[in-house]
Amino acid sequence: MYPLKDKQINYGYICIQSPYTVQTDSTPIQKVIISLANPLLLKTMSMRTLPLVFINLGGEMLYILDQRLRAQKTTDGNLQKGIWSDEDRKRVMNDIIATMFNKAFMEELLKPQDLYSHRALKTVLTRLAHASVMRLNTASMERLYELMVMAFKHQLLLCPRPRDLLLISKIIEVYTPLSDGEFQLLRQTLLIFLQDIHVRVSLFLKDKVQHPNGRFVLSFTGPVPHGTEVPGLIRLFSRSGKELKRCEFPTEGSYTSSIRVGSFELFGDRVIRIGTNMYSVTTPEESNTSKSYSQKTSEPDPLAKEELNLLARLMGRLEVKNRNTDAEIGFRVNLFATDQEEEEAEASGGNGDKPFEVINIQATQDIQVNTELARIAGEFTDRVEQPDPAEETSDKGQSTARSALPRPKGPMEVSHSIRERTIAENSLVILLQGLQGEVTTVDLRDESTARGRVINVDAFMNVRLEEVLYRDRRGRLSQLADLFITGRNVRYVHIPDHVDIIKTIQTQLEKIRRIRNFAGGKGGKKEFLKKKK
Amino acid sequence: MYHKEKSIQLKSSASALYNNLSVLRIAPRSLTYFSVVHANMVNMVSASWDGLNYSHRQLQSKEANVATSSSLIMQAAWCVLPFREILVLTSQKGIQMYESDGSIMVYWHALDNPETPTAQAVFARGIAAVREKYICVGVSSGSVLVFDVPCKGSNVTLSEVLEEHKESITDMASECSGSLDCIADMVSADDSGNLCVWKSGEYFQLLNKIPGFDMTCSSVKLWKGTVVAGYGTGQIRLYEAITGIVHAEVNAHARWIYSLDIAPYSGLLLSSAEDSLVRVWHLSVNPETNSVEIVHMYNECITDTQICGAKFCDGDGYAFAVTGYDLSEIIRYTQA
Repeated sequence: MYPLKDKQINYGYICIQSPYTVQTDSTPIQKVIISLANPLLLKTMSMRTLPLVFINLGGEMLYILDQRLRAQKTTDGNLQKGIWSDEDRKRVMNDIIATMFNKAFMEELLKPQDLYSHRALKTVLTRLAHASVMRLNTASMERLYELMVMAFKHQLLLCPRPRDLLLISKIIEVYTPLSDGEFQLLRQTLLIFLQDIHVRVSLFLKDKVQHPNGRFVLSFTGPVPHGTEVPGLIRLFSRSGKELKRCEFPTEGSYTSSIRVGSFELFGDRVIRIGTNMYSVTTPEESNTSKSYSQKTSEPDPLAKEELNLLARLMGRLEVKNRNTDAEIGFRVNLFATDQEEEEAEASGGNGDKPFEVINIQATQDIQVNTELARIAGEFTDRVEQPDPAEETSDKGQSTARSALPRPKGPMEVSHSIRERTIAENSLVILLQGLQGEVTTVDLRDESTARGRVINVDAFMNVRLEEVLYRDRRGRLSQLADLFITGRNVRYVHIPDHVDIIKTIQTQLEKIRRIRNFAGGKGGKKEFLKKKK
Repeated sequence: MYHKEKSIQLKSSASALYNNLSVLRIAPRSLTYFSVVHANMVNMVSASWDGLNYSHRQLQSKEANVATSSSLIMQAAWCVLPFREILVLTSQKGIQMYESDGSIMVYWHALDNPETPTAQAVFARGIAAVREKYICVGVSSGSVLVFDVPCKGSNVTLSEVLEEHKESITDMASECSGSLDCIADMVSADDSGNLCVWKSGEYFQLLNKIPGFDMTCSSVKLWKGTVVAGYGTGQIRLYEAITGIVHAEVNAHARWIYSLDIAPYSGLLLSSAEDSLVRVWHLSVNPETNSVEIVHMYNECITDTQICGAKFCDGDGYAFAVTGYDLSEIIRYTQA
């Protein structure tokens, strides 16, 4: 059991049961449990969702970090960079937990408030992770967040009764008096929050609980939840209330009667396994995520930002010191095989799907860590995740045809040229044209690759990409705002998995046809003129 | 009995809400409208019967003040009154009524939001069109708002507030068979499973209160004087509306029921739940005992989908449409 700092224990009404039971390495981590003696703190229904989201994501983060840190110890042999000892790991986890559950922060969190945007939440969690001596870079944090979100979504979808939210979350007594209907509403709000996120997680894919398209496998057969009857029975009653007839119907599933009701007590038997540490059973193994979702990044609203500033100030209230990166006396450990891979991960930001280890952890000395969190939180809205300047300088010269053309005013979906349209219609170039707006990788004939969003593809397979990560044949990376690739230099274009090839071709054909019909009336140049008799 | 048809793509995916699919059939123009809620937006699709033309429209819930974050929509449904059809949206902020094609907002009723966000959650849920001119909408406080809708124009008035429920309203339904000899006109359900049966008129009259068993009744229907209620336990119960006598109890699903629908002419009942199953039942009135009987007809599994809405597309139950959480399509089935 980690000793928690005294300060955090003597709260009066918020008592924290130490979450972190690590006598032996085989003991699974219990999720953190808070009990609140003052239930009046939380009232509003949909406004109650924030603590649940936060605590669940935070809990997932603890699991993941713990697993990562353990893996670090065993796999990383980089002696020159230092090795994580058990002590360090404990210290990191302890720091994070202490921050997460410190009184002022919890009080702020438990006030009724609207859900933050994903971006805001990510910022808070980043702050949290950095409360310890550990440092995560942006790419790692991005992955970490995706992992957390997906794990939480999976648990939400699978919990058999809305009330089981309590079992998957750490128990908060405040929630206990809610009715089932209110729990269902909470769950629905949470599901809306997590809607349309289909990040693929290798651990889930491997265990066959997630489909390659990012959806979860939901199995509803087996034991029915507590309070539910096994489906398949119809009972008819007479007017006096006597049972007249009983008949059965085929249910298309094998159900068994309900399992025991899970204990909502602290450390009680939860019965269901979801919500426990899913990493505890697996060997330390990489869990990469790859993105395939089209989620709109919601603008952080001003209110949320204010709240965040406050939260951040509370979190960082202990000591405000200027961050001094030069004084990095600590050590830096990383999970990437080579430095190059690490750079790549950093540069690729969120939208890469490269299969390498996720989290890059570097430890600096303890004092530096309590930096000015509020300041950072203030910046979060306008801070753009920038790639390392070192990478930008590398590789400027020798690519194929690359130019910084001004962006077209509006993406032209179908060319005005009849010739181009005809070529497109009769070749597979039309499929590439259908990729407009997709993020994809183009392999070039000189062994280099470019990954970016397709702006335009013409009939000669000239491809225009934006926000490009260009990797030359020596493997050096550079970031380009705009890239034009001449058709003859294209070797392969990767079609994203989620693109339905047939459908894409059909819609493109449809577009061409529409334009043709448009010109086909009275005015306009005629295409395919009918032969005069 | 049913086979899968070409599905209809939506602009954005469906949220996990009760009865999150509404269907309106416009016979003169051979069109069917579908509406599905996505967070703070409503996706509307109009599909021609030949399946060739689809047109999409997205309705945002418009707010009076833009400063606050936009509110989530709880339900969207078409209300068919004899002289006009109205699309009703309920959200955390209020109730909006649109013309059936979503083009013009007819009426906007704001819910009183407490200044300090400490009270119970505020939202409206449960929509029903009753008789000639009433549209009833449920509110989270348990009251039912009755709106008087004129034949045309935007002169909608709040005519009555019914305070019988103690918990948030989940769903409401009016008599769907259209027969006039049924006394009960409307039924409302709440989070604790209590049902209230009403008779419409100048003033609404409470006919009966059917007690629940502390389990949410998530969807309710009224057909030929029989209340059909679907519960969080996965059960469907059939009550006689006036007396509250239980006719039948069906252990229908393994998870929360999310929606029920009745094809009034054929007496088919469609139930769907989180357990990814849609089941079709047949209701019939036994003339000897004058009680309603229920028979199972058909199962359909939409794999790995938490279904949130299923509706018949016509009065005979010849076709039905289904959608589910995170699914950005409406899957249609028609009888073979």
